[in-house]
Amino acid sequence: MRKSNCLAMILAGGKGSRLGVLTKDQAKPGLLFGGKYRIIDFPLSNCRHSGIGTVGILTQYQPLELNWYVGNGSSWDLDSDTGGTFVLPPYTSDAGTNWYRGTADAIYQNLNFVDMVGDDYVLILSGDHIYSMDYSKMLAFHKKHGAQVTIGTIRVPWDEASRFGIMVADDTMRINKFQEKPVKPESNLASMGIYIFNRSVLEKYLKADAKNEKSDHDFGKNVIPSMLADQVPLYAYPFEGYWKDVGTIESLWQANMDLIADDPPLDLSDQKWRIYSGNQNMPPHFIGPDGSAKSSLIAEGSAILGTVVNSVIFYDVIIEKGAKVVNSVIMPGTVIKANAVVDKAIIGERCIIHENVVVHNEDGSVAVLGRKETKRAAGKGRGSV
Amino acid sequence: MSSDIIGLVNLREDNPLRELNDRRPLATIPVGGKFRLIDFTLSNMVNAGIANVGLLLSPQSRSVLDHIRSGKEWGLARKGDGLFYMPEDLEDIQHPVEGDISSYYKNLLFVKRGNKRYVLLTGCDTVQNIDYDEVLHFHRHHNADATMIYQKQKYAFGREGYALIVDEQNRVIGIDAKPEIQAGENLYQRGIIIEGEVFQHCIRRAYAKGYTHLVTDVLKRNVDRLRIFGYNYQGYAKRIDSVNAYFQVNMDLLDMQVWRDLFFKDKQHHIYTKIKDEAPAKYMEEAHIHNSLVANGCIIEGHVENSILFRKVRVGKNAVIRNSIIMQRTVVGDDAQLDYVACDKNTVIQPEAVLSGTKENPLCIGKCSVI
Repeated sequence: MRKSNCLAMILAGGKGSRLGVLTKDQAKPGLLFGGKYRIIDFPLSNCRHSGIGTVGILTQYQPLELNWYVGNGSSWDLDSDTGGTFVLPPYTSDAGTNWYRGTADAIYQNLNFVDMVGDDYVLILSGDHIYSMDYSKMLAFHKKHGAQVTIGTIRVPWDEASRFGIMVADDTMRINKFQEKPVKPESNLASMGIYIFNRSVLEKYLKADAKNEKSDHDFGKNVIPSMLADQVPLYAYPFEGYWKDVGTIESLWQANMDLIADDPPLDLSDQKWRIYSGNQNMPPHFIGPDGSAKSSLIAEGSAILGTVVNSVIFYDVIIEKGAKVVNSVIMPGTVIKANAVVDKAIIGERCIIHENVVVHNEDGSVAVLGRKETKRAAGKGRGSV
Repeated sequence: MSSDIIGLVNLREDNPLRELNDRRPLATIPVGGKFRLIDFTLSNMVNAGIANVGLLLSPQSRSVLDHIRSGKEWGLARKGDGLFYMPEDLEDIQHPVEGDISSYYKNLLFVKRGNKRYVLLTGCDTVQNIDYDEVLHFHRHHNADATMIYQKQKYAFGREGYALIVDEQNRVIGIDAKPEIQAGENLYQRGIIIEGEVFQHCIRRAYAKGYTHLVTDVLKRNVDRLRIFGYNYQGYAKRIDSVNAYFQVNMDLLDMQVWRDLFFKDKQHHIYTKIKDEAPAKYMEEAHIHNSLVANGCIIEGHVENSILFRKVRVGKNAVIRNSIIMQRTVVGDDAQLDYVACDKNTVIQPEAVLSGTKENPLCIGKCSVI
């Protein structure tokens, strides 16, 4: 297959500390989403559909599950002989043993890989976002404008702009100012954490950044500002569409609920832009004689003998007779026993909610259970509600 | 060790089902919401560690090739081993020969080159999740030349088949071709583990003598000379040899026990099929669903009960589907009503259409029709 001449590097080492128990033993890009996906399925599927042949995945925090999941990339059709998927953890060398100290440092430590692949363009992605995006259009934009660096941006509501890294660009979309979480934003063009670099420029600035001991080795904080200071041509690519950072419990819950709407903002059934994922070999799901489902997503392999409303049910879940699941996300392998009620909650993998237990937070916040937790009825020991 | 088995699947002996497979062999009939019949045969083989599988193709094999392709989904895209497609000779297509002996004879080289101790001969007409490792264990334990798999029938099967007569040591002492299998009889299930050397020798001799059928001309004639044993498989297994049987197998899966037996019997025994990467099924606000199997990619706005929905079926608003099998990519329009219907794939049921069959005689709607 013809090579795209653009290498993708996915930053997948983040902990996602605001996700609490859900990322206790796995990296955020491995987080389950939408009934059958993991977050990293989105950038990987986007790469596949954008014609990118080689993908490097930089892992650091709790990488085991992510490594196992990604494998050789074949689930995303990214296992070609001319490219492929490469998991890149930190390593030791003559220079010593270094963890990735920041986003820029992670790429810096893999410049030998970037060089080995030899593509002229390097697309840097974060493994934290839910979106469908054609990177080839961004690359065409990059080439057309003769940019050295192009930053993927999206218009955000003005009152939220101070939460983002904001780009101030001229009419041609050339960036002349960057504001990190500004109190008074001069624009509402927020960085999506997606960059296309010409390889030579990337190498030059990463090498300089690595020598700077005062730097946090972060693209947004250090590398982009120093390029701007040197008047390197930086352009903002305006992306339009659904893009969601699922950095918190609340936003993860909301992003799942977004999928349930009759006319969802992100269409998972788009035949031209399928989101691929690791296959579980599950049979169709089973809805029992007394089971019912409304306004919900239900994946294969689950057995619904109770009631499901406004919820996202992953594969291999059992919801027993009389149990009720409302406004919730139930991850794989979990059992909700008879007459239990789960309302506005995210239940992690392989949990057991015992008979008659109610999982619900009175204050209206999202109730969360981590992996393999057990909830028993009051008075029956640990974990009672 | 099951990796010492070479598998040979005969797709040439199928009985056609009206409407459902006039354009495809039985092997690729959609069954159980997302599978094709051949998925069960192939999965059972790979689950037992069999890495060398030959498919004796029938002339109508486009859909088989399209479904299986490299065999990747079944773990059969291998270096050296893996899947081997065996099309029919032009001569045999022009002058069809009866029976299976000639097919086996013409592909003996595959068995010889495979260089495995045992050969597993199967067909592709049964829905089951059988552990061939256990069958092999039984075969070795009895020091058998051949082991035939059967099921003792609780009820009258009512259709034709081979009945095995076995003694107390499970040795097969007779094989009867019966027009109607009765309750208590041992129905042969089209699965034989046979010593490779014995198989090659028997097939060569039988072909030279002009024999046609392995079971009747070779095994039946030699029950005294060969050590043939019968393995009574006690799990769920149903042969699809009529539209009624087809309907029944699908409806059986609405029993959660059968569903779990077939698909969750053992964590290592998945039934594999072609991956489609569909989104999870989506139920809209107006959806009503009871007692059904639903595959990924479905979008349901209407009322569904006692039915099987394959991947990517759309059920429109106020549509009512009962006791039906709706195959992949079928669109059921708003306010349509279906009862005891099997809709083949890509069918379009127009809004407000009313279609019904009966339990004894379900209505079958052919592939890609617009009704």
